[in-house]
Amino acid sequence: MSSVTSAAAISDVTLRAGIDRSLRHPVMFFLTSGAAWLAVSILLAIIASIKVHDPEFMDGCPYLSYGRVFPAHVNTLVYGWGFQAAFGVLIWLMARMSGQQCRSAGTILTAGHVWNLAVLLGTVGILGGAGSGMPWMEFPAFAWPGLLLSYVAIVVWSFIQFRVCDGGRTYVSQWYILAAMIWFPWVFVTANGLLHCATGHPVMAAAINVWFKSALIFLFFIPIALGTAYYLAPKLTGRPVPSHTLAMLGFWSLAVVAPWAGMQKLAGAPLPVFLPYLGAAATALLAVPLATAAINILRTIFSSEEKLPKSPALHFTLAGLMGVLLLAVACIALNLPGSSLKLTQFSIAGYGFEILAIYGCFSFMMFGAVYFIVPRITCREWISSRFISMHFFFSAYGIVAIAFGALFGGFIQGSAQEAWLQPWEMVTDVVRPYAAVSTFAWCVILFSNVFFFVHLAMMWLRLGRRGPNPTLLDSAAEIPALGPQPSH
Amino acid sequence: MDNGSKITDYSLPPHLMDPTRDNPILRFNTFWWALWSFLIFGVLLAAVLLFNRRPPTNLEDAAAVARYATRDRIIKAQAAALSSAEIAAAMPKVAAELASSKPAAVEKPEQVVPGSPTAQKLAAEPATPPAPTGAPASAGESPPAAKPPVEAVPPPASPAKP
Amino acid sequence: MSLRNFILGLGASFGLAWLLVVVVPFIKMRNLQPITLSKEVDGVAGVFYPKRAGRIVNGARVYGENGCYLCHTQLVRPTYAGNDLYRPDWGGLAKDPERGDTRRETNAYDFEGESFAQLGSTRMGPDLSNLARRLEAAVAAKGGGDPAALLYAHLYDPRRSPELRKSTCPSHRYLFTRREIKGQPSNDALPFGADASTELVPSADAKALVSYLLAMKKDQPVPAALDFAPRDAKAAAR
Repeated sequence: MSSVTSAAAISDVTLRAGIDRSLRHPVMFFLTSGAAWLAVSILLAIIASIKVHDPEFMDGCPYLSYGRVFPAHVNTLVYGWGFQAAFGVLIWLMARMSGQQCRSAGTILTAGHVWNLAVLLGTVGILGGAGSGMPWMEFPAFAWPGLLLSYVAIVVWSFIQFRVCDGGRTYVSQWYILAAMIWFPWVFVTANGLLHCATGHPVMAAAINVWFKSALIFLFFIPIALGTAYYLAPKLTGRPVPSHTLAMLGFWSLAVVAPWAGMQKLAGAPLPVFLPYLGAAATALLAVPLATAAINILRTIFSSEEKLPKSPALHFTLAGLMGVLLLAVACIALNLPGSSLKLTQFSIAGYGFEILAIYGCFSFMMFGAVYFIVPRITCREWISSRFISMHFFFSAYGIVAIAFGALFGGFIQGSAQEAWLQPWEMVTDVVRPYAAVSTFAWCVILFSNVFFFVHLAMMWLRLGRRGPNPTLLDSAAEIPALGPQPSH
Repeated sequence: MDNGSKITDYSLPPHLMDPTRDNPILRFNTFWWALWSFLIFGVLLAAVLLFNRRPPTNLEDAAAVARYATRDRIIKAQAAALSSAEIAAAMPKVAAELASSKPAAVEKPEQVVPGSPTAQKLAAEPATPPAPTGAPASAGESPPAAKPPVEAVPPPASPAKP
Repeated sequence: MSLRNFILGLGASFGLAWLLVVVVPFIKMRNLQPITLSKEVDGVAGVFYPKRAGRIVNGARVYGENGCYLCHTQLVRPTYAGNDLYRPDWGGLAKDPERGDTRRETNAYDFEGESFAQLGSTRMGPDLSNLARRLEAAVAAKGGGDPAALLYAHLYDPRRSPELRKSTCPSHRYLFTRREIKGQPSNDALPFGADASTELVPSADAKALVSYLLAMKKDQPVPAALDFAPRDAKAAAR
């Protein structure tokens, strides 16, 4: 090792520490408030799920009527947990990958509070009976400008950091995260502008709403998840990403295909016929970017001959990648026009698909990132590897139950719906067991996340363990990072 | 973004590669470029909507077109008919004519009011033989020239009530 | 690739879809022209206007606020996209006493007056496109009654009626108020739940919602341009 390299290594460590210190407050704020909203969302999910098989549960309370509690669950999951986890992780990743300290922590924190306020008011609006009636956009109309403004105030600094050190070489994570940062306002302004501020044909408004739902998943949450995985996998295994070509292919195929997807949920509606079927084709084709990225990163992880390091972040990333592969299969299986599309179109399979994407893929990657990032910004280690195991295994059980239950149950429900000679009561009977599975699975997920909340709260209160060795899932010795990896 | 075929090793962190790139002007410019990038499709959408400000087609209005057409036709037909002004203009003349003329006596028997002096005068006239109806009852009788006169139907005893 | 080219690439790939799938269809459907009927082909002259009588705007708002779209759809799909049309009372009535088979798929003019077509996301409950036709037929079969009363009772307690014991529809009790009987019981009062001095009456929201639901009759005859019934059925109808 030359003296230049060791001097560079020392300044490297100093640089990283500086970046982490500058980001401590914004990132911890987003992660903890996101986790709080996750708790709220899971509770609302349990209530909603119980009401599907047991409608008399808590039916005296108008604020918890199914028609209000379910949209509240979905919107808090997406805007309360999903976006805030994304913010926390993306501002840290972009800062680290650009080697820039965060100079706008105050602005970001303020904007984060505004975001939380908008989500809170929106959720209260939904539960109070002022929902807009548009799936995934049920916050009353006042919420979206506040969300947009605080979004811009949070992520624009990461854009600047990236630009300022655009030294000609960028890493694949940066493409995904930058693209997600840019795509979201495009999608959000288009959908909210056309649905809240313009008058048009009612059926086309419904079509834009389903396009928005799909675009939010595939043009924001999935790219953030993949970008995070592309960062964490090489970092944690010390192996390089094997194929730059596959990385490019995965990214650009997502960019080209994903904006066309979404309208297959309205097949058979009085719309121009090409719209839903183009959406079905695009969604099925999305299996290509998903599988490409997942396989590329999995090859990174499994390319080492040594045993996998027992890093919690790696476990969560691996599980998230399995989720991505399952999502890729579901993209094709659910959307074949002429066979499965008519079955899954109006069934719980749609909900299962969305939860698989938001929890099974995105949230697992975010958990992995949280377990990686928080020790670095708080300078403490996680206290209990058992808590992390509990969080991991029960979340995995839960999401597998929901995903398989809802996807399979959706097909059964769809077949029952299509059996026109049978009375409608048969469909209700057939769905009931899958709703019960869903309730049980959400309870398991809540149980797993209690460990996460407690653990995260303790780290936030600087109660973590001090020490040089990271907390691993079997407390074995740490494996030092080797070889090429993303810088910082 | 990367020229090589695989991610290569980084020997120096990027900011140490080219320290002169970071300056406040670049940051300021990038801020506005970022804002533009985020909002570009919003601006395009606003431009598209600006060119499409006409309110969307309303079925109610479209159905109303036929109703308005019918209404216009009726009004036009009514206007083409005798207008009230013309009637008002003609009324004094006709009224004067009517007032100055005597009522003419009625000649035709079916226009006569039963019980009036004209009716009694008509009844008192010698009865004219009614037109032959071709009834076979007077079969075998002598030729019509020598037909015995049919008695006139006597008028009702009391005048018919009006 | 520089940042500028990256964003341009993103913009091009996104922008093409944005234009062709979102913006252009939105503008074109916004200017959807009404279909002009012709006397020879359709039997009447004028414009195809499936008019609905009822509190469409207010009712649709209450429908959206209470999440009815989560479990009910308002879309009767053509047969290539689903089996909705085969059901005897979804697209219309298979055995209407006056018109015979009135079933048809949903068309673009069926949502006139609403700003967001509540096509629905899941079908836990039946499709509502022709709910009012179903209710009126049921009421006629029973020999009389008020479809609005049926709907009020269902909204208050969906599992009250014996046919719907297993219904998972939430109870919308909060849409009703208990108030004192002034003089004689109100016409809208629920036939149950009343006691000596109070009765249950629907609130303004409930009335708007029921009025909207009672306008759910989407089986009017369609012009030839929208008539996709099989030719034998058309011949039989003639």
